[in-house]
Amino acid sequence: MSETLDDPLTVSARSGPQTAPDAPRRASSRRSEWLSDFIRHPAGVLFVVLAILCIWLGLATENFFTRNNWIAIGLAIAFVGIAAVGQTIAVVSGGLDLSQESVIAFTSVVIAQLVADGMSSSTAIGAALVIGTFIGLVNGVLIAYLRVNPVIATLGSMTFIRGFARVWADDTSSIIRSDLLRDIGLTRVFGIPLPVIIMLVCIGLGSLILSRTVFGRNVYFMGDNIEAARLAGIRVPVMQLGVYALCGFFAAVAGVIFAAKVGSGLPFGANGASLTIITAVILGGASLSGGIGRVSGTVIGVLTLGVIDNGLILVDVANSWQSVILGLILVTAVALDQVRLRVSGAGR
Amino acid sequence: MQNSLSVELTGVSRQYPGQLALDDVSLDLRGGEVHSLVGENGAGKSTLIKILAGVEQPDTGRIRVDGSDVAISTPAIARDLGLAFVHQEPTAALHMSVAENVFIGDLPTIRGTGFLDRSEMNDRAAQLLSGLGVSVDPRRILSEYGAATRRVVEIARALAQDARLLVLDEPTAALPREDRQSLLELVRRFADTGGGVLYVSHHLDEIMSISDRLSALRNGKYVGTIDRAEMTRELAIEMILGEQVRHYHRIGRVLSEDGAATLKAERVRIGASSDPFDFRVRAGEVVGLFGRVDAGHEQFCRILVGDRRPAGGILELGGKAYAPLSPYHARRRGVGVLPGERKRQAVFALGTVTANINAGGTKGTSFGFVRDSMQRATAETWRSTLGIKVPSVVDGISTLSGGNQQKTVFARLLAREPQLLVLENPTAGVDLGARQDIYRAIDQAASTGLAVVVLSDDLDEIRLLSDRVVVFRNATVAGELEHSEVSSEAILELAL
Repeated sequence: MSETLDDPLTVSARSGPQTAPDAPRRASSRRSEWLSDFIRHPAGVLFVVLAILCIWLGLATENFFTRNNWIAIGLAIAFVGIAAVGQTIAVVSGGLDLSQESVIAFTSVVIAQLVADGMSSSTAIGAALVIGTFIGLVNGVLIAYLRVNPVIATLGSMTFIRGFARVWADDTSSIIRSDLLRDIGLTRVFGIPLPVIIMLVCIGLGSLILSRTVFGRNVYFMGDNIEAARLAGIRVPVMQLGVYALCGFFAAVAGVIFAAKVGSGLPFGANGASLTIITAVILGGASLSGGIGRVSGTVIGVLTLGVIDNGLILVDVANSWQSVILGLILVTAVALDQVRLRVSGAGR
Repeated sequence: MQNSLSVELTGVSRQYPGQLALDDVSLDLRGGEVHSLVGENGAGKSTLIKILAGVEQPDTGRIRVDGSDVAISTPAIARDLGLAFVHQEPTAALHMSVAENVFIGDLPTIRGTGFLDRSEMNDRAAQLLSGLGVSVDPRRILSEYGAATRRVVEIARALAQDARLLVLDEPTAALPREDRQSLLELVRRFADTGGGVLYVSHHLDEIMSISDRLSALRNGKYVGTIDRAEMTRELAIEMILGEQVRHYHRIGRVLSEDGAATLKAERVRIGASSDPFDFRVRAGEVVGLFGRVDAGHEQFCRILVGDRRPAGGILELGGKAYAPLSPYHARRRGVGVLPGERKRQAVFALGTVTANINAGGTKGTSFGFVRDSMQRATAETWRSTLGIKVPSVVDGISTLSGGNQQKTVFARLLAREPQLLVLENPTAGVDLGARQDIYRAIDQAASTGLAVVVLSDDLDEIRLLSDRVVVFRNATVAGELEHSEVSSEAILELAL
C-alpha cells in the first residue's frame, strides 16, 4: 500500500533533512530502512525464492554460475524485460496491454521490410520505434476516448497487428541484412551484451518515470482510484494515452532487440510473449487491480522466469515436466507473497 | 440483580498541568438505569472514569455511594464498592481460556490450598455467560472468539466481581455493526435487573436507543442532564458542542455588500427542457445548495466542477468566461471540488496522506519530477492547519478515521489555493469533532476571500454554514434565502 507509492519518498525523507515533528522516532539507520523496504517490497518473497533457486542451481550444476550462462540468461530475458517495463506502467495504471507480443513481431517485420526496400538500418529502426509508439497511442485512444476495456482493446490490436505483420511479410520469415542490427546483437560493452545494457537502461528509465515523475505518480493515483483521480483534476485520458504509448514504445524497443537476436523479420515471432511479460509483472508484485507495483519487482519477476527456464534445461528436466515445475514455483511464490502481505498488512 | 445503588458525584474538579480537566462536575448514577455520558474528546469523560475507577483522585468535590462519603483511592476500593469497568481498548488475555478471563485477578481456588479450582471456575463462568445470553464455552481459548464475544467476556468479568455499576467506555468501538445491537441489548438487560450503567460513547444513535438519562461534559464542565422524554439528537449535539460552536461561522466573516462575484451564472439551464436560472457567489461568501433528490442542485455542482455541461447559459469565473471541459480544466481555473462520496470519488486508499494531499496538484513538482520534500512540507502544513490526526504524513490514508480522511481531501483542495470551492456533503460520515474542524476550515477559507458552494442533505449543516441558501426544485432554482431568513421550514417549503 503506502510503500508502493511512497517508498522513494520515504527513503529520501529519512536520509534527508527532516521536517516532521516525529522525525526522531522514524529516523533510523539507512541499513534498517533498506531492510524494511526490502521486507515490504511487493516481490520480497520472490527475491528470496530466486536466491535459493540460484544457490541450488549453483550447487547442482557446474555451469550455472559461469559467465557464459549468465550472458545466455541475460540475452534470453532482454526483450521480455524491456517490454515488461512498459507493461508494469500499464498494470499499475489499472490497465493491461496484450498487444505487446504483436508489436514485437511487427517491429521485426517492419525492419526487415524497410531494410529490404533499401532504407538504412538506423532509419528503419527509428521508424519501427515510431510505429510501435503509434500503435500504443491507438490503443490509448481506444481505451481513453472510446472507453473500450483495456483487455478488449489490446486483444483487438494484438490480433490486428499480428495479421498486418503477416500480410506485409506475406506469411514468410525474411533475413534482415543489416550490419547495425547484427552489431546490436553481438556488441559487448565490458563483456556485457548490448541488448542487456539496453534492457538495463529501459529499466532505469521506467523506474525513474514511475517513481519520480508527476506522470508516474499520477499513474499510481489512476490505478488506485480512477474516479478520484479524475475529480482531483488529473487528466485521466491524457494519462492513458501516455501509458499505452509508453507500452508500445517499450514493446518496439523489445522488438528491435528481438529482431537483432533472431536476425529476421518473423511475422509469427514472439507468439505468447505477452502472457510471459504479464506473468513477470504480476510475479513482481504488481496488482492486476492497479495502484500497486514497481519496476524493481518486475525485474525480479523477469529474472526468476529466466533463471527457471535456464536452470531446468541445465539440470536436464524433461520438457514436459518443465512447465509443471514452472507453474508450481510461480503459484507458490505468488501465494507466499499474498500471505506475507496479509500478515504484515502491507497490501490490500 | 444486586441491591440497587446510587453513586453521586458533587462538585468534582481535577486539575492537570496547564488544564482543568474537570471543573465542578456533578453527576448522579442510579441502579436500574442507563446513564449516558457524552462529550467531545478532551471534554473530561476519561478523567471522570478514572476518578470513579480509583486511578486518579479529584482535587475537590466528593463522591457518595449509597449515601455515604467514600474516597476511591485505589482500584481495589472501586471494585469493593461494586464499580466495574469495561475499557475502550479490550484488555483481555487472548491466549487464556474464556473462564480465566472472566475471573482474571480473582481466580477461584480449592479452599485453602491455592490450587486453581478449574471446575468451579468453568461452571461459574458458564453460568454468568449464559445469563448474558451468549453460548460460549468457558474452556476455550479466548482468541478463538471474535471481538463481540470478547466484549461480552469483559462484561462477564465485571459481573463476576458482583458489579452494581458498570462503566462502559466506547464498548462498541471495536465491534462490527451487526454485533453492536446485541451488546446494547445486553447492557439494557443489566440495567433492567437493577444494575446501574454509565455508558460513554460517541455514537449518538446508540445513545438515543439505550439511555434513560444523558449528561454532557464540555471542556471539563458539566453541561446538564436530560431525561429520556426530552432527549433528541439535536439537543444532544447542542449539549456536546455548545451554542457558540453552532454559530461559529458568524464570527469573523466579513462580507462586503458590493463584493465582486467570483462565480456568475446567467440563464443557465441544467437540462434542455429545464428552466434557466441565475446564480452567483461572491468572494468570501458561503452559499448553501439544497434540494430533494434530482432537484438539480447535484447536477449544478457537476457543472461547476467541469464534470457536466450546461444545456444553456453562460458562466463566468473571476470575470472571465468559464466553460470547463473536465475537472482538470476546472482545477486549472482555481475550482476545487470535495466529492460527495469520499471512498469512491476522493480517497486514494493505497496512498499516503502526503500523496493524497498532493494528488493532481502542481505544487511540489519541478519539470515534471516530484519533489518529495516539498510535498511533505505541504502535507505537514495542512496537517497542523486542519488538525489531521495522523502519526506521520507518510502513513497510509487508510489508517485514518473518516473525519481525518475528509480533512486530508479538503487539504488537497486548499493546497492549490483555489478561488472557488465546491463542497458536496462535506461532513458525510464524519464524526462531530472533525465536523467542527471542517466547518472552521470552510469558514476560514471563506474569510480569506474564497467563494464557497456547499451542497448538503443536512439542513442543520446548511443553516450553520451558509450566508445564503439557494434551494433547487425541478432542475432549477426555486428560491433563495438570505442568512436572516434561513430556517429549516423555509428551506423545506421551497424544496417541496
